[in-house]
Parts: sequence; C-alpha cells; structure tokens
Amino acid sequence: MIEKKRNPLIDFVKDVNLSFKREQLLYDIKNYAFVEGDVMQAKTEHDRHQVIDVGEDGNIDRVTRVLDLSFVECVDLLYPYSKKTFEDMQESNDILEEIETYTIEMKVPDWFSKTTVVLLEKLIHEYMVYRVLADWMSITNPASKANWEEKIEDVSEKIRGCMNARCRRLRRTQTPF
Amino acid sequence: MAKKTITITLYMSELIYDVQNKTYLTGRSRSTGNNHEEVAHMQANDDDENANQIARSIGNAFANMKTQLSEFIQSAGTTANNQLISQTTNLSVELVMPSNFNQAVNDTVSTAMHQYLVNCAIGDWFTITNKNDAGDYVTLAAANIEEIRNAINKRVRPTRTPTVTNLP
Repeated sequence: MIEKKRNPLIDFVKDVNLSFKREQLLYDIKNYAFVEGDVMQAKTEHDRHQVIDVGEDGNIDRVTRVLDLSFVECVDLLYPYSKKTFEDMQESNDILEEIETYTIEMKVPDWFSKTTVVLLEKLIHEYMVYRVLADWMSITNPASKANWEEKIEDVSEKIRGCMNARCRRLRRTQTPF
Repeated sequence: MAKKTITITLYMSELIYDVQNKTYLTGRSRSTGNNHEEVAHMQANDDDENANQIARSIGNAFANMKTQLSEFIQSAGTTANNQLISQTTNLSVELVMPSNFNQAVNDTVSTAMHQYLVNCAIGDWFTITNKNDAGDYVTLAAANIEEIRNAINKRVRPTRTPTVTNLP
C-alpha cells in the first residue's frame, strides 16, 4: 500500500491572527508622550504641550498615518509567515481611515510555538507604539527621537531573532544529487 | 478627540473697579501732603475722559491677550473696528481646548486674565499720570500673560479603561 505523502505547504500549516486594538495602542502612545513631556527640559509650556498632545485633534491624523505604516512594516517583518499572493490584494489607496483593529494574518507551520506567537504579539505592539513616538518626537522634541529609534531597532531585532529561533532544524541530505 | 470649550467671562464692572481701587490706593500712598493735584490725577474715576481711557486700555489689552491665545480661539469673523468697548458689556472669550486640557486651572486662567487686563490698564494710566509707577504695572502684565500661557498649556495624564483578558 502506498501511503500518500503529506504536502508540507498545506498539511502542516496553521492560521494565526495577531490583533492590535487602536485604542490600546493610542493609550500607550499618549501615556508615554505625557511622561516624555513631563520630564523634558522645556523652554516654555508651549513646547511641552506639543509633545503631550499627540492624541489630540489634527495630531491624531499623523498618528494614524504612522500607525498604518508601522503595521505594514510589521507585516513585512513577518514576511515568511504573512506573505499573501498578489491576487489577494484587491485595491490599495491612501485614504486616511481609522482602523479599529489591526490584524496580521499568518500561516505558520504546525510546530510553531504558541509562546512565540504571544511574544511576537507583545513585540509588535511595542514596535508600533515606538514607531509613532519616534515620528512624533522628530517633530516636537527632536532631542528624544534617537532614544525611540533605538527602541525600534531593538524590538525589530527581537522580532527577527524570534522568527529565526523558531525555524525548524535543517536536515541535509547525504548527497546533493 | 472631543475638544473642550472653556468660556471665560470678565466682568467690566470688576475690571473697572479694580483699576479705580488700585489707582486710588496708589494715589493715597504717594501723598506727601503737598502734592494734592498729582494724587488726584493718579486716581482714576468715572468721569468720561478717565473712563474712556481705561476702557480703551482694557480693550487694547483684551485684543492683545486674544492674539497671545490665538492657538485656542476659533473665530469666523471677517470684520473688525476700533470702536471703544462699552463699559457695561462684559468681555467673554471662548477657548477651544484639547481634550486633555487640565480644567483644574480654569480659575487660574480667569484670574490671570483679569490681572493682565487690570495691570495693562493701570500701566497705561500711570504712563499719563504717574510715570514712576507705570513700569511696575507693565512688568506685572508681562508676568500675567506668562502665567496664562503656563496655565493654558497644562494637561492631564491619559486614562484607560482596564480590559480583563485571559492570559495565554
């Protein structure tokens, strides 16, 4: 009897969705901006309020743009698991919309650890928050921008490391032919 | 985020009384027994020429204050004029503040605005009637506008509604 060979591209794949609520992201962004504004060496109170008011009318539109950008950057970081075929992409435009929940749809191997998924979710949340803050500080408090960019680099490295660490062991064949 | 509209009303009667009272007290303090005329000139009263000068100064100061706070004032007005403000119409300003504005400073803002208008008016008045003291009031007015700016830029920390979720 011939056993049917399992297709690793179909049979060993699980769907995993990572969701990020805008409300949760915004709270962290506003909270960190408040602390940043509170501790900064400001010449005037006006300088300080510009840092703190990251989530206010007008400013929030910039935040939305950068959140959208950071989201797709994260999708790209997770490329091996998040890639989609071109046919799936119906339309793309630059209309500003407030997305209530950002969702990364991944197809992961069935041996992919749940702990890795949880870790990825935490890291990506941090990435999106840091990304917005780095952008906002570049406008309102340039002295602080490098600090947030360093955090972005650090968390990006962790995301990449996390993905690589969970790769399956490679077994080399005895002969290349 | 919803903006907060803070309406601040400054009563002309309070402003004028404060100007008259401070100039009266200053005049009384500067009296040497021989300078009755100078003292009388320092003390602003309700005579037309006095009242008009005070009203003009208050109007100027109010306009300047609105310029300083223009970031938070929305107006669709398309005309303006130099008509003397009425001594019986109260001054009102609507500040359209961000949602995280700290409303605990509302009183500070209104008090500092009152002081600013009064000090500007007295500074102008003493420039005419008592030059030695005029500079002090101009300095005080500058400190008041700084106080308004400080207060108006106070913000509250964001708050969140805790969400209970199961840990993985």
